[in-house]
Amino acid sequence: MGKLGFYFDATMCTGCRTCQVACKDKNRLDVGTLFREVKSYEVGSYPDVTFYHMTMSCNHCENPACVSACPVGAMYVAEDGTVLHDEALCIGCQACVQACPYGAPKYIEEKKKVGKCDACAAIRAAGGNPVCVDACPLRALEFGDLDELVQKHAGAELVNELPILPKADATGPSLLIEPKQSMLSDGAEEMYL
Amino acid sequence: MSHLIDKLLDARFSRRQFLKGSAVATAAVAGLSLTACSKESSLSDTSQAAGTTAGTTAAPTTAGESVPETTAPVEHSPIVNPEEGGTWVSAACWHNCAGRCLNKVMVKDGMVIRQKTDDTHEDSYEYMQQRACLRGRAQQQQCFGADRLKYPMKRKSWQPGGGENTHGELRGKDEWERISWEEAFSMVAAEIKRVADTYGTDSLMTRTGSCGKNIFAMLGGYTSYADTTSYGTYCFNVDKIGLPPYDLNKANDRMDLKNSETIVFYGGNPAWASAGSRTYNFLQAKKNKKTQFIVVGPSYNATASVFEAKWIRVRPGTDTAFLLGVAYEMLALDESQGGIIDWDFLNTYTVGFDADHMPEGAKLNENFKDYVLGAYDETPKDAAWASKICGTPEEDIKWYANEMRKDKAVSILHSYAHARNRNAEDIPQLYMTIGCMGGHFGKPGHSCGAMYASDAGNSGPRLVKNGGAGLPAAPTNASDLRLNGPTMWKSVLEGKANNNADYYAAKYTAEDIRDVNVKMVYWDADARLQTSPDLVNGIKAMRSMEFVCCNAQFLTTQAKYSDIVMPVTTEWERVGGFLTGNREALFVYTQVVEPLYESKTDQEIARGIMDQMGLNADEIWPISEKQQFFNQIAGCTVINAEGTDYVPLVTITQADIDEWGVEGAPQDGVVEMKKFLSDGVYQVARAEGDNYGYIGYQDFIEDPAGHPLSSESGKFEIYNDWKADTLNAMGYSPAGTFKPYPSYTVAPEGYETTFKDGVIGGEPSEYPFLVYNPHYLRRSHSVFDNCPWLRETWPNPVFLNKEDAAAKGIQTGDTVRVYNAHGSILRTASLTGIIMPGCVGVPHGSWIDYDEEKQVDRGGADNVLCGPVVSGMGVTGYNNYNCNYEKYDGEPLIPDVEKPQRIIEL
Repeated sequence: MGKLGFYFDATMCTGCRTCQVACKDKNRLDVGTLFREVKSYEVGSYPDVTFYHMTMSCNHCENPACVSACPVGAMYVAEDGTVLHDEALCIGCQACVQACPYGAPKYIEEKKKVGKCDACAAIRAAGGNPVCVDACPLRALEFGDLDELVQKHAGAELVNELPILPKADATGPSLLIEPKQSMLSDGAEEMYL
Repeated sequence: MSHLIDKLLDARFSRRQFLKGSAVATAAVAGLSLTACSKESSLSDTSQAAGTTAGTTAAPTTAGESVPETTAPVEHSPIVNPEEGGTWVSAACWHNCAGRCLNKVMVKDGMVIRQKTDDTHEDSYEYMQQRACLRGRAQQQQCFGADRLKYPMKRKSWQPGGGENTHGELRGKDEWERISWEEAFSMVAAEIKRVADTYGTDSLMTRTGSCGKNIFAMLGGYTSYADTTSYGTYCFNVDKIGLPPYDLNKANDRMDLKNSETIVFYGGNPAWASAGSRTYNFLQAKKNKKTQFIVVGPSYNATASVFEAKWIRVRPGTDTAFLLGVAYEMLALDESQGGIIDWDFLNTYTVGFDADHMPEGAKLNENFKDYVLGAYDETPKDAAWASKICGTPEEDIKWYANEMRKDKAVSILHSYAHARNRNAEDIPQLYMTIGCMGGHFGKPGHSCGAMYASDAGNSGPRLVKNGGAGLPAAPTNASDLRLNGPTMWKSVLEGKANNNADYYAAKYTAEDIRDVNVKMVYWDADARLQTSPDLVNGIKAMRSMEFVCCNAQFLTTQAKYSDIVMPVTTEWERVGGFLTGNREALFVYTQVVEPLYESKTDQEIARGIMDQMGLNADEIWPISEKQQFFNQIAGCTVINAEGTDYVPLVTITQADIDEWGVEGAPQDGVVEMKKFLSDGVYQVARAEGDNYGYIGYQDFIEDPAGHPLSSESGKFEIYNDWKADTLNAMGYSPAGTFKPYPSYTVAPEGYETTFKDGVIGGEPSEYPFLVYNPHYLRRSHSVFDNCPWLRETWPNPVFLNKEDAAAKGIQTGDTVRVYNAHGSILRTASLTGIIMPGCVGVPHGSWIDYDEEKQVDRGGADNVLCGPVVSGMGVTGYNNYNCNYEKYDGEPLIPDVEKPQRIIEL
């Protein structure tokens, strides 16, 4: 059994951001806080231009920087390997916010605490998927045992880092991306859509 | 329970975003006991309710500092599922979008705590879940939005009776005061009566809905309005040339898409315009990695990107030139290398292509082929000619022509962006002609037709249908006066209209100038003021009225410029209903919550006004809304396994009927009523080789004499005198402009007018850019524009070609003023290479926020820039207006999401 993590088929993503809003809905997040975020990137220049999208939440890393950084043990690795956050313990110091190379933990001003994606732990415990997975109209997101996901998508060249992302060796993200060719080239610029 | 709304708003969103709702005593959730609703919040308190606190007191750290490891073992809070004990309820997704998807809400303790989409069965391509988009998830911010209108209200300075006391000039600026429903009903009733008695019934204006339309019809008629809306020039009688109405729903079904070697997305962007699962229809074609995708239009859009399509760039409004160039190059390639044009197809299935195939009695001794070759004007319509107009490189026109060749399986699928232009009248006939030249009709892998809305990539007859409500026919409008959409405000302000078209009925006549004297508008079930051109004059027209009333859920544009606003329920607060249009799935929704605040349904509002006027509402609605819904359920039908006939869908027992307290008879179907309502959907599972496949025109291709098309000849008519005669007589374009065959005509505002004197390549005019209005995922037309989550997600910039904008010293994030002869808007710049030079993309539908002093719209409404310029059939030409833009030197915009919601405190 491998680690649990997300698989993202960037070749199918239209960048619609349904996953982002489904996540806000489930986590009851106000404007200003995103536990999952989609960004779009332009590659090339007119007329030889294309763009792609990257959706990202917590990557439930092998060596989570947030857990190392948390002074009170509020960020922790759960039994199933996902990285969870215990709000009751959180003192709102934001060490995790600063430590995470992916920007996954979010400081929530009103609570004076941090929050982040728990891969919908309660829903998974009840037998379901993270809501972003079941929300995707293009079926571009999956969640599960990474070894099994690799097997399922055998033949695809899966990656866990991209030019726009931090180096994977820092934290070992539990993330499998089936990239579009354009995602592998340098010089991508974030779009304002 | 008396403070349920407070609790609901508190629990779901912070007060920062959602102001406290007023106490309402009746916000019970349908079907759920409220006795258990004592617990405060169900979500935010989970972590506080459980767990222990570790005794660590480490100081906050900053980045870069080493962090002390926790020494003591920590016990973590157990995972608590806040949804435990909640119930999923099928819920409406009611807006006018192009998806047709399943929406459900979880209700717990009387509150909606989450939404989800289709999980009623395992997901596969054949039997795909009908997954909804982000807008569906934000539906809760409509129903429970802090900006919901709570009570009937009246504009303070307006008094009934007409004259000075109207203070029309204050519409949109005045304050509001709360009135009772009794006051609202009696004032609206008295004003309708007074205006009709004083000025005649043609002084009343409305179009659709339950209230104004029925009331005015019962009084003797009213002035209506009509335009080409989404379909553009496909609103014309395209049946006369052999196409189905709007060219809709006669491509192939989705299971056939994988058989196409080439799929063209023409004038459309399903990823944005048919959100939900429609883009997924193209999955098999994408995954087989053999299909060449092509996108034709002014931007390399999200659909192009996901399918890694080849971009054939064409300036907005110049597709006629592009397609004529394609036709010429197909002829040229056929001549030079052969194998391009399907002459057998042209011989058998068309008339009018060339001199040898003219229809009997043709008035003009001219034909399409010779026109294209330049026989009549010494101008061959070759790639070089076309490229100057449409901006497509010549080699791309030739490449596209070769791609259309007869030995390739090609699906040429269009939406309607290319038809929403002035002088796009010949697009339907020309697009069809290219399909005919390649023979791309009626065979697996070949199709030529629309990919629109919920039919995007999936044509064919509905496999499951809802029943009728069991209501008598609504009263009809005795007046035939219908104002043309783009020029309606001009007509209202100037008192004259060309009453030559009823676009929704595809009825066209010669020019017919009539007097217009509109004194009152009832805004009901459309968003005309916001979504029709000439918005600035629309506001002027509103201020010229004696009375304007509106049913609304929010302070929409129409509500804002009204005198009396009546709060209408959302679909979540109604007894239930259907969402139709998806070929394979029929969606049924049920009541989520009792009407919020003092809102009423449309029928209740109409009834209230009719009662005051002595009109008998029972003539229109002799049965309750619940009975109407029940009738629709009972009348649902589904196709049989053989695909030959329809059978009743829903099994209804006497116990169901008794429980509902309705009239009806038990019946046998394929799904029990309770399950149907609880699932919220019935979907016909598809499978390879099933009996539900559809190949458009197959019967005609196999037997053209036995299954003729709708045209007079029974064939595709590339020459049609009726078309030319009708268009030339309508009074918008000079006589003789249109030919019986497709030809190039110059628009009164379009690409040519971006140059001084209209000469392409000459000196730029005052407005040297073309502005077009792409659909945008924040909204469905104007609906949802107020939802905070969606405002956050999609900021609504203006899309500018990177080099064009940089040359003006503009950077992404700058506030720019986009302006033309019709108006002026502000938006935040988005510089990108995915849009052609010379083009400006203003996303469609954002609510006007007009700065009267500076005469500029801070809301970025597209229809401020669309003006009252028409030609041909009077098409609403949203996509080929001219404009210019500059970096704005006034107060910059703040993000829309940071603008205050339009909350009316009464």
